[in-house]
Amino acid sequence: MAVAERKSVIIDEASEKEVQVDVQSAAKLQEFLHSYRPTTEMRRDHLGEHYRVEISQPLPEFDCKNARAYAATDLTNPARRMFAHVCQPGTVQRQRVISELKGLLHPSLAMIATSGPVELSQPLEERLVIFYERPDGIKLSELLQKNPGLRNPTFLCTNIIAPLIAGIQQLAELGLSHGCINPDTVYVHNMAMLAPAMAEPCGYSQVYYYEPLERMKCLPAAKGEGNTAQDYYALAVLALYVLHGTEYFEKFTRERLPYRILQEGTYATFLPNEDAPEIFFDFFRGIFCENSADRWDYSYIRPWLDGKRYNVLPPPSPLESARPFEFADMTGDTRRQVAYALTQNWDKISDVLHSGRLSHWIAVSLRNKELTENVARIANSVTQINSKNEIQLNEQFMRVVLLLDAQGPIHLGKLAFNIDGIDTLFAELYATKSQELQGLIKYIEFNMTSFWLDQQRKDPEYMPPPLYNAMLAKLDRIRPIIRNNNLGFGPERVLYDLNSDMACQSPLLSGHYIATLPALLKRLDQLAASMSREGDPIDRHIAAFITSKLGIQHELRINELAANPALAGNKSIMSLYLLSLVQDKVGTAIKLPGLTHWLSLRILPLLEDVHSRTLRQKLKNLLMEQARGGRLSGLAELVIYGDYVTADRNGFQQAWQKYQANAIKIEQYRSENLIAKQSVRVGFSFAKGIAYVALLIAFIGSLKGM
Amino acid sequence: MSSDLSSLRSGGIKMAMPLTIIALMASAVILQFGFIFLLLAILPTIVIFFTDNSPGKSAFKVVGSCNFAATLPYLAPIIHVGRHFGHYDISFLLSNMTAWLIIYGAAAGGWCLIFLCRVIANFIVILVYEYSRTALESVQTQLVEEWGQRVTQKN
Repeated sequence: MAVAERKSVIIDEASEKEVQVDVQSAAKLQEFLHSYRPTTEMRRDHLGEHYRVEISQPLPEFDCKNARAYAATDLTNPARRMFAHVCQPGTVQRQRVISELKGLLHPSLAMIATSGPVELSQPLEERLVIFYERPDGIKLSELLQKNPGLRNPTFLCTNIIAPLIAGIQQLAELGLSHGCINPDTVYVHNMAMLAPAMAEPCGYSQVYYYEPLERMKCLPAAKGEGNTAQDYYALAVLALYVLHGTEYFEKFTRERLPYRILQEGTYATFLPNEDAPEIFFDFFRGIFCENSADRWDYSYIRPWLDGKRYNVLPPPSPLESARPFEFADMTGDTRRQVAYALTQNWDKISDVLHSGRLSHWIAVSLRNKELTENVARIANSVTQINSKNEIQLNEQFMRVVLLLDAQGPIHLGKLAFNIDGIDTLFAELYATKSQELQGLIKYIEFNMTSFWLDQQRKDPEYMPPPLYNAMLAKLDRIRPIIRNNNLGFGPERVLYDLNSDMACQSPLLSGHYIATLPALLKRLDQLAASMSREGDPIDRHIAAFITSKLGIQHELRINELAANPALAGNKSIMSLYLLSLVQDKVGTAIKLPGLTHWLSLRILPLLEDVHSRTLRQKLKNLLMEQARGGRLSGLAELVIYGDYVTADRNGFQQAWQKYQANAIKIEQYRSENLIAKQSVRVGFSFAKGIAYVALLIAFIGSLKGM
Repeated sequence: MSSDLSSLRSGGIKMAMPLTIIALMASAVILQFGFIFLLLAILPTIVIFFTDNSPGKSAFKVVGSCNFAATLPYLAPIIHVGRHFGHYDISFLLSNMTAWLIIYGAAAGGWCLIFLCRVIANFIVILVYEYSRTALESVQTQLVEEWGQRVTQKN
């Protein structure tokens, strides 16, 4: 008993010693992190050495929904008049437009000087800041208010339309669009110039009547990049504004304008009495046509400005059916009108389909057999779907609306979006934590786009724009991973896959603008000192951000640690795995001692899962060494790819078997029964030996006697 | 291997009885009246043969060996005479109390030997077991020290 106690004391002493070593190791790591102050290259309010945001000088006239505007200074040329958009966190910017227009000099476009993350002094946050040259002059709206005499055709053509079409044409050549042409974004000094609109999704702040119908019906974040056809449309509305003023548009309410356009046509809606100088008839008729592909562009407007006359006929009033379809408080003479009426009364679509009124109207008034059959089929499906299954019902309603209006945006419950607007819509719904996000996720998951595509392909000449093709490819890539809700996947992953330029939205990185992998590593390294006590350096956002940037499509599994599921599934180990992949990708030249110490501090207690004390101690010592090295890949090679787990497991199994076998033997050695039996057996052996020897001696003696 | 041994052993036991009968018949032919002396001398062995329950009839073997070792010196002259077809007068032997004391004393000595050896063996076994147990416990301690308390868990 005393021996057992002594041995137990030895083990306790060894464990205590190990615990002490662990505490010392953890203390060393914490001490390093506590004193770790990585140098930051950023100067407050500065972007590099050239630009500075004057955060004390706001310029509200340049504000937009997603960004506040401030004066800015070009430090190499202080005379240059500049302003900067300080973007709100969690919002989406038009990075493609920014990168294409950066440094582009055009008399009709405000120049984008540069963009990038800037650490602000107020608020104390890192934000994306876009620096522009300030457009000359004042806003067109202010100019016309001050000088109503400028509302004349000459000024409009020479000073407004001519420079603006040149700017729009430049955008068209780059495959871009402006998306927000209105009197507040057009600046006039001598000639008109377009203010930038890159700090928010295309058309996000656009006044509704400056948008063509297919964009007007969309949610602001879901309009998509579109093309310059929407800019020419806005230009035509702007021309009306110059000629007639704001009051002209007061009668066009947001609710009724789409309906009126559908009923009367765009041209008839905006110019019911053709109340414009005659020379503008061609211009308005050419632009206010229903099909965006037929809309006038630079190739028509420039000659028109030069005096060429086309004698464009006014578009006919859209009329398809013999009898109107009455629904709610609306009547529809065309399929598009009916579709619009349905989207405005989404909850009542089910009743219309159940009653068969819609298919009856299509059959009788439109005499379209194929459409009647399709609508009847959908109506039949709707009757079989449980009314509580909102997703399936919405999908069927979406199909009906698309059958009636294939040109219009896709409607899904409260959502209305264009294909190329899905990315920004997703970001908006995610940022506002909208319940509609689930609907959009299901839309992507169930590949509802295919029905939209089928409708477009009914037109044999239909060619999807490059942006649509890119989005369709993205959706195809996302679909297989959307159901996966593990680390690195889920809605966060969809967010970053759809918006590849979006900054990481992790709460760990709140107050920082991280849009690239090197920036992520550096920032996590800097955060190590303050965040290491709170948890792992990775959360769902960071993991999704990384997997999206690295293009990881399969579930994250560390096969090397499969023998120890507790280690393989651990978040700290997973963090190390992902971050080491990132460091491998961006280059191991960047040393990250803060991050390696942070991860080592998290991983150190996990090594208790290693059974072998010797191996454990060795690993801990190596871990401390690697932490000092600042290389995540070195740490990963040790902890993940070290191949110690299998050896440890096998060793443990052998040790366990040996221990159990020994325990049985020890029990046996304690058994009195066994001792007694063995004593008898051995005793008899001794006795037999002696007796046989005696017999042998007696036998030999007797033989001699004979 | 062990099955071969056990089959040999069971075969040996089966053969023992006929061999004993043959040996006894041969002894009776050679020893003549000496055979009576032999039967009386190995009486303790005969008795223990039928009463011994120890494994492998070890007690019989020990007592028998001792008994026979003491009998052999007295039996040798009878065998010698018998070999030359002479006549040996066993009345002198039968009336020799010292001879009977030695013969039966040797059988009793066999019993004493069994008892004594058992005591010694018990002491040795306890000593060996204690040593082995201590060595194993030391190994167990090393295992726990290296692999932790989890190695002691049954499952």
